[in-house]
Amino acid sequence: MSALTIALPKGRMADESLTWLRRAGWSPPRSVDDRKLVIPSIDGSLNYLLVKPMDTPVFVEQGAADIGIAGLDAVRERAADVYEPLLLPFGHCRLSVAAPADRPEHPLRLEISPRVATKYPRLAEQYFRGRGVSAEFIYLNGSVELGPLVDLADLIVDVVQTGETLRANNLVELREIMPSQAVLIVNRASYRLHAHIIQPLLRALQAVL
Amino acid sequence: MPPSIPRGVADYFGGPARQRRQIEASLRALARAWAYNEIIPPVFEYAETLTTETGGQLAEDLYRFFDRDGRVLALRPDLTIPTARIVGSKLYDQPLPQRYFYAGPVFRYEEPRAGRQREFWQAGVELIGAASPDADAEVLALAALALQTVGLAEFRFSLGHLGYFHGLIAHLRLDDAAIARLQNALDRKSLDDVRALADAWSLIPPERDAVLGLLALSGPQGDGVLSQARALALNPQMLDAVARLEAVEVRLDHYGVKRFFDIDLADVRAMDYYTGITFKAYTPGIGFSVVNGGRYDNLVGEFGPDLPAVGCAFYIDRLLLAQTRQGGPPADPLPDLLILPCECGEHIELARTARAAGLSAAIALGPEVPARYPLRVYCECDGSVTLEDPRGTRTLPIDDWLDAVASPRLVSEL
Repeated sequence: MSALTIALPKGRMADESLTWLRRAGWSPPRSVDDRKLVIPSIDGSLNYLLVKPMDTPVFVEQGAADIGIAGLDAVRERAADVYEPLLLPFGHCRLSVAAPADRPEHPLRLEISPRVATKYPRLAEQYFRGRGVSAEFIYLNGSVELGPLVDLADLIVDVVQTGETLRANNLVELREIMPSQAVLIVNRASYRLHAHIIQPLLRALQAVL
Repeated sequence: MPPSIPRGVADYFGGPARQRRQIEASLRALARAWAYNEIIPPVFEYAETLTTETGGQLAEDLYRFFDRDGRVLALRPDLTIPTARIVGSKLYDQPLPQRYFYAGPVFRYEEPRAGRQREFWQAGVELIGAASPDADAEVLALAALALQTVGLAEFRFSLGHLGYFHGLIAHLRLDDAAIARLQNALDRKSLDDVRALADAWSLIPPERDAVLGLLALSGPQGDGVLSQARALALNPQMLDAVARLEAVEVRLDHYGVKRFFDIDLADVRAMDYYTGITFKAYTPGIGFSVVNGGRYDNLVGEFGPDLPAVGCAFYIDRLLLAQTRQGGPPADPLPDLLILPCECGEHIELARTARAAGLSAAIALGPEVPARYPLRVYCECDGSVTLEDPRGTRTLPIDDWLDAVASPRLVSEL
């Protein structure tokens, strides 16, 4: 029986993911070395992949990983067709529309063609088009808050945790698009093919939540 | 600059092209052995035919275009609807049941995913005019056998029954938006979201138990899933679904394929036209199902008299991908023999006799590199023939060479 592969999001969610998995008795990775991308677990039954948070859903959807931990924001942005059996108690944030604090009071729906900087092109477009606003989207890979400061964009769509980053850049939150938190995701085929391994793992994790 | 090709189509050649045809051929041969005869529907039809009320979900993905009269045509998005159209409008009074096999390209305007372009290939079977659990079991067993026949080392089916979910939502009197939300949560197997809905609707037992319990109704047959489902059932429709699955289970056992099947009553994503059992099959290396099927008792009636029906479709491109991932990429197909031209011209006779014996033989035309071919044949122009393979050469009388070449190969292919 080949080892099960688990995709974890690099960065701040990795530590919390590992804490919860360890608490549930999943065999932890042998080492957490940022340069290594594939790390076997101590007992060899699992392989951990460390991937960009936005990519975890894709690895799992395609079956390159059997299980993954991702933010709901990433799962929806990548429109990943995966099972989402367990919400996990960390990674809480919200995807929001924000604007410069000095933006005049003006309903979003009256905007003609606002420029929106975002890492979330699909969700941002869905949100604006769903309200009949034809926005112009500027895809950025990071530092989205910079957009309005240098007049690259009128608005941003980005994740907000405490609001600290927004305040520091003189931005205010206008609307929440969706709340997000960490979620355990499972590939649809793996769920069936490796049920005898995955089900006990899920039960163990559920028991400690 | 080479011409670009549209998104969603692929060129097949060499080993993969041959392998695709082989998959199709072995499915066709198996279907034939089960008395399924081929049906060949047209590639395009009137769009309205393909968007009957019961095929609504596919309607959005149709490739549509106009014919010269301004009527809207569409490329077929599957082969079940055209088959239902043919049977419902033409073959309804022929002896029942009718068993059909088909294979061919289908077209859906959607994002290409692993092993599925916008043009992709399906093969499938439809058993029309039989409503019994025997008919369900026949198609399920045939599907399981088919995956073995194409050489998949490992696969699992998930088997559900839409009647269970339909019975539940009828009992709860949910409106369409609520049904969609529940369906979505179940489809993602999100217990948290299902619980949130049960809370929002202030459900109390036994309804609450039935909704929350649905996600647990999944597992190998004989694992107590069905008795649990029976305990949670709220009305006769849900009980009927359980009874049907129990009846099917007994028959799958007789077919010797029961071990491949898991029950999943929370699998509620299916073509809109399905009405009874639904199933999917998965295999390692492919993150998506390789077979989809189910019972559709109302579809034929869209085109003629009501006839119960059950069937399934195989995704040939995904089976090809699975074979490749499980067994390595297919080798480039080479002919069995390369026949080198000679002075006397008898090499043409050599090619003729080899081909008549069922071997594939190419006559060298000049640019070939003989060493690439497993077996080279030289006419010596003196009544003898020299065979050359990687192990050495051998000269034989012209009357004997074919036996020496053909017999081991033919034996191996029996």
